[in-house]
Amino acid sequence: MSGRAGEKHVWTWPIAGYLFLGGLGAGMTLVAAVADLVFGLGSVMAASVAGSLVALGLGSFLLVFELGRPLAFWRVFSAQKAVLTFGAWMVSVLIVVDALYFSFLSGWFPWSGASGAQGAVAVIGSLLGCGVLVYTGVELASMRARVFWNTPALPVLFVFSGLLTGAGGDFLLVLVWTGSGIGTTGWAALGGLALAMMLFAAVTLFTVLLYVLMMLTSAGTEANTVARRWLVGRYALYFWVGVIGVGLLVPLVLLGVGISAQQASGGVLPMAVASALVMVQGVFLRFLVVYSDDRKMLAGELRRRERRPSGTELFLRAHKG
Amino acid sequence: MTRFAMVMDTRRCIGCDSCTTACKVWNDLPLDLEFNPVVTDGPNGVYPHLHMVHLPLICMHCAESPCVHVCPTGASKCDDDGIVWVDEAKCIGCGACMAACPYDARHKDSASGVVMKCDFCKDRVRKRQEPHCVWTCHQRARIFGDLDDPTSDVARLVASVRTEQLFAEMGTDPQVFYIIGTGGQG
Amino acid sequence: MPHKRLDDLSDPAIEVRKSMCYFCHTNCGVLAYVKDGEVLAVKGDPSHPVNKGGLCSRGNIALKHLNHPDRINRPLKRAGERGENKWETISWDQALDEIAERLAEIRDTYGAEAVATAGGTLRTDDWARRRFMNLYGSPNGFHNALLCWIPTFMIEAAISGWSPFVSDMANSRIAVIWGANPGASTLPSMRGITDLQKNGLKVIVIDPRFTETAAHADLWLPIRPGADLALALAWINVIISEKLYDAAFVRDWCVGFDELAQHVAQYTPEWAEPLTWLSADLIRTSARLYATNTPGNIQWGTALDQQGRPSGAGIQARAILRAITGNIDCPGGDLMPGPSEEYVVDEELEANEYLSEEQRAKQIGASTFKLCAWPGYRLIADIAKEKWGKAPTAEWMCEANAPAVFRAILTGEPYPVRALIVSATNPVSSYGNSLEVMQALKKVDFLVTCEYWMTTAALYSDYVLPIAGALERPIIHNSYGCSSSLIASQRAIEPLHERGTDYWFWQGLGLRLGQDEDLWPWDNEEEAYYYVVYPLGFDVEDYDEFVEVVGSYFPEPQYYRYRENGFTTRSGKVELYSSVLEELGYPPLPTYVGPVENEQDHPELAKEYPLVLSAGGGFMPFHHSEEFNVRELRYLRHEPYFEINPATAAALGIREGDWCWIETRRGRIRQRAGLTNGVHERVIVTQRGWWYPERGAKGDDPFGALESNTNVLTATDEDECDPISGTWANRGLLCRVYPCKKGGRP
Repeated sequence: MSGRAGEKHVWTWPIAGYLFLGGLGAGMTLVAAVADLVFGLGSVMAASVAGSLVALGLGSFLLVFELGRPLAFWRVFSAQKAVLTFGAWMVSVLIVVDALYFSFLSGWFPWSGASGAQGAVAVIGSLLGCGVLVYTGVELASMRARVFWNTPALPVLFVFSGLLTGAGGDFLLVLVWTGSGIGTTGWAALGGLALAMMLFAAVTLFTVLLYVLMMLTSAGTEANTVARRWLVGRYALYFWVGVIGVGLLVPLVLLGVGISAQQASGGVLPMAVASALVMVQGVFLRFLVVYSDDRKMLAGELRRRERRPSGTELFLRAHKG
Repeated sequence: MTRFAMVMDTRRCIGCDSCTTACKVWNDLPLDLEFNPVVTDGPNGVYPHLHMVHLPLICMHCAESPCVHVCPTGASKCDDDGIVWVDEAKCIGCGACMAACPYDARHKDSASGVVMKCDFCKDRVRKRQEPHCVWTCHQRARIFGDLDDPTSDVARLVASVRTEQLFAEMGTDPQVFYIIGTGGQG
Repeated sequence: MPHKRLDDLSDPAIEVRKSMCYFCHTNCGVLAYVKDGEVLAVKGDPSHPVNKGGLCSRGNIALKHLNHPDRINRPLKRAGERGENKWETISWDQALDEIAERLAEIRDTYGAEAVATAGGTLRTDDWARRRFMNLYGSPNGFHNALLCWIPTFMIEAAISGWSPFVSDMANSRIAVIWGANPGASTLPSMRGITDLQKNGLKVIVIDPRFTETAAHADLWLPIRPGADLALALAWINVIISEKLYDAAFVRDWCVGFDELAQHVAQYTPEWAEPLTWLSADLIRTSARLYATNTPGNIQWGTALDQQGRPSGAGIQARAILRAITGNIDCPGGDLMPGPSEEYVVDEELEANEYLSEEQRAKQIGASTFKLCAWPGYRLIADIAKEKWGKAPTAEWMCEANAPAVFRAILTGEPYPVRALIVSATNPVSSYGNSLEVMQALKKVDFLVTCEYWMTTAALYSDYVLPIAGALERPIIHNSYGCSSSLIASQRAIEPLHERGTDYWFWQGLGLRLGQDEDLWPWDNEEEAYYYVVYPLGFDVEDYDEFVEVVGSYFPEPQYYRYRENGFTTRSGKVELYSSVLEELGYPPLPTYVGPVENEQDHPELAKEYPLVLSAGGGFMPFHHSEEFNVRELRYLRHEPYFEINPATAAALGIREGDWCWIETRRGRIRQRAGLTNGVHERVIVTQRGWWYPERGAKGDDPFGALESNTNVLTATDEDECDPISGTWANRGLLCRVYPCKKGGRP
């Protein structure tokens, strides 16, 4: 339709990065809080919470980077009902809560160990984690114009993918926090996180395949086109290798190997590698989704678009001064 | 009340792009920005039994405007007279409205970073002047007016001729109404 | 907000000038808002009879054109080799002095006929050019207007005394739009048609393309390019054999009907079917539709003027169709205005009487192509003068044959042409067989170009003169000086920088060559135009006031004027059997000849070049080769697309958007493939006018003026031109198409 030379996508890599880091950070806090509240493993999760804070901070930076007017970013907090505003608030508060939560878990501060207060912060953190996880999907799914996004299945997919990356991130940071002396609590946490990862990876795998198949068989031709792009087209390599292979199947195998050899320290390495690899699906999935922003087109719109200048034409640059 | 709307009479449109250029020149748009392009559906059919329809496009000034709902800063507004516009001072260029718009009617200006769109030439129409895309049209294929005024051309046409809203199924309730048909009928 | 400046036109210091758009010759009225000599805005004039306020893309970029950074603003004198693009900026005085000196030298050495002028479409004050040439003594002015109405006007004038070119559309029951696409080229006329369709006007479109207009028609005849003559003859056959003609009109007001009936008996719809690619049924249906829905009109379209060899006979047959159906000069038919008897017409401004018989006889091409040159023009003008005391405009209607002049430059036959003055055209883009034209421009001894921009012609010139545009000059439009109506406009501002008008140029040159000051009595256009409109008798002090108060002058349409004094022919009737054509040695009845290149007459050629080419008509937003520099317009169409049927494309391995070569015997060009089922499987339609000004004057093909230029493909050899008018062939040529190799450039 209208639009400008070279404009292909509404959003590009910074938003994909933001969605990934947002999901990662939220997932890390949520998983850590559950480990703390339900399993009493909080003492090894301090770095995970700090990592969540860093991920969320970095994500917010990317979001601001994508803005047309980055310096006016603070206005994002000003609307009443917009999903983006709600999300921005949640991310910001979660960063603060993460900082507080870290102060309890780290044991570095005088008030560390005040278990009542720590519990309250953990509950708030897990709720916000849930919120942010869901929000990253809802932000896209609410766009009725975008055929590949506009389904309640997208938040579900993002939640599980985010939980998977969150658990992976937590796993790695538990290792970092405990260092060489993993200890019983450490082992318990690592074992639990590995099991959680297996569960999340399996669900994510199932959901993402179902999602793409659903799009392939849905009524709109644009959605079919995108699904084909994922399965056999331009995005197939990223999808099959990045998301499915390296991001989900390989980690599933590695986790299986690691869990069966858990008590031996030899199990840590494959699990750690798996934890790192699940990030790959998180990144690729967000990229593929963000770049699948196809609109339902009017007849003739595509031809006009194809015949429009791409932005590199000589005549566009002629006599500018 | 005033409710501004436009009728596109495709029985009259010939796809000349005069509206596209008038808008660009008079609104001093960046070279690569078009608020109201015309797309051509066709020729369709089996030679030599063909038909072809030109669709002049524009911001649909939806009554249920998704772009306004998603704006995180309140820069995207829908005024009481139905005009959907962007308060550039408040826009941060996040792109949410661009993603939300089913009609590709919003675009980020690379120079200022804010989102630009058709505002129905609000400064003109509120002074009872026609939008630039309307006065320039030789074919009088674009008809602008107040839907709440039963004597206006738009109200009369919408009441008497079968019109369609583009992508009505998305629930946006566009205030641009299309009379679909070929020549000899308008 | 950026548009506030344009929108606030309420400032009392702003003067509103009634100007006219000049970017095609529809000449829409515009209001120019002027303050302190600066045009702030240009809008369609709602009160103008032509456009009623509407304005197309071109009209909307008037200010971009006026202030365009590429405009030439000072006279340029060549400072390097020809084509080297090195210039010295000089004054108008110096330029005119030096050009005049050179022209005097050429006249003294080779004779005045060694100087020719090339014009473009109706753009300039061409009566001033003619005046100059007549006083200078050369008969060799020419335009590319043979492609545009001139053959139509002259053949119709030969048959019925004047061209019946004013359609009384509002009273018509049917309009036949024949080889024209008002939906892309004359938008106000399209609006009229669309409005009237609501009231029941039927529309037939004859066009190889499913055009913007065809899409709105009741019946579309997708004719083989160049086969219009066969269709017209078959229509006559149907109308006569089925007795659908107007028997009374034919009996009382036509001569030669019996000869015609006998002659066209051979041209049955079945005969025409393989030539036109239209079924005999469709030919019958359409002929009946036209003949039984009287009154009706046949719109003039350039297509018949652009077919080369069969053009003249096709135009003749079309004129006969109007006559035998009684659709001439009646309400709802095609009205014949005649020259204005109320104001001074162009011919009276041309000083034709100053060109001696001896010099007239030297007009290049006139002995072969007689009608639109002195031999034919004289016959028609004499009859017209007898009746009206006025004649058709000689500029346009009586000219040297353009391809013959370019060949004269190259071959020296019949005599060498030493100098060419180019104005309002880039001949490389707009005349036929561009490769030959390019050679001629490079070869001619002395080349002067009057231009807005640097073009190929300007690049090879010795002098380039900066010309004022629409807002910088007043305009009178009266259909090449051949209408009884006129529309007039004011100068919005004085020419910017050192731009000058055409009148200024020709007058300046004439005076320097010793032409009598009394023969150039007007200091500027306004004075000359006041002289033109003065006899209308309006109470106005000057031309500016005339535009202010009167603006356009449309006399009440007069019907059946022939009933008083007969038609302006020798017989006083419509000559279906034309005495003028017979006297000039042409078939007096329209006689079939095939398209310039066709599968029947040239089967061998058709094997090599299996597709049929139409070199394209007007398409928005450009007019001919104009405005390719204006980025706001280029953005709409930045690359050339030719039309090809998807089945043909598939067979040739061509996908949408592929760059392809389109090749005829004369050369090849590249355009991108636009797949559409709006053309026949054997038809290719290119886009015309393409050049790439942004590339600059560099390289083997400066401005890319040949790369995608459809006129590289067109045919201008003597035997390819219409023997009657001399027009050349842009339609009905054989071509082949194949994909360019990746990244291939010529």
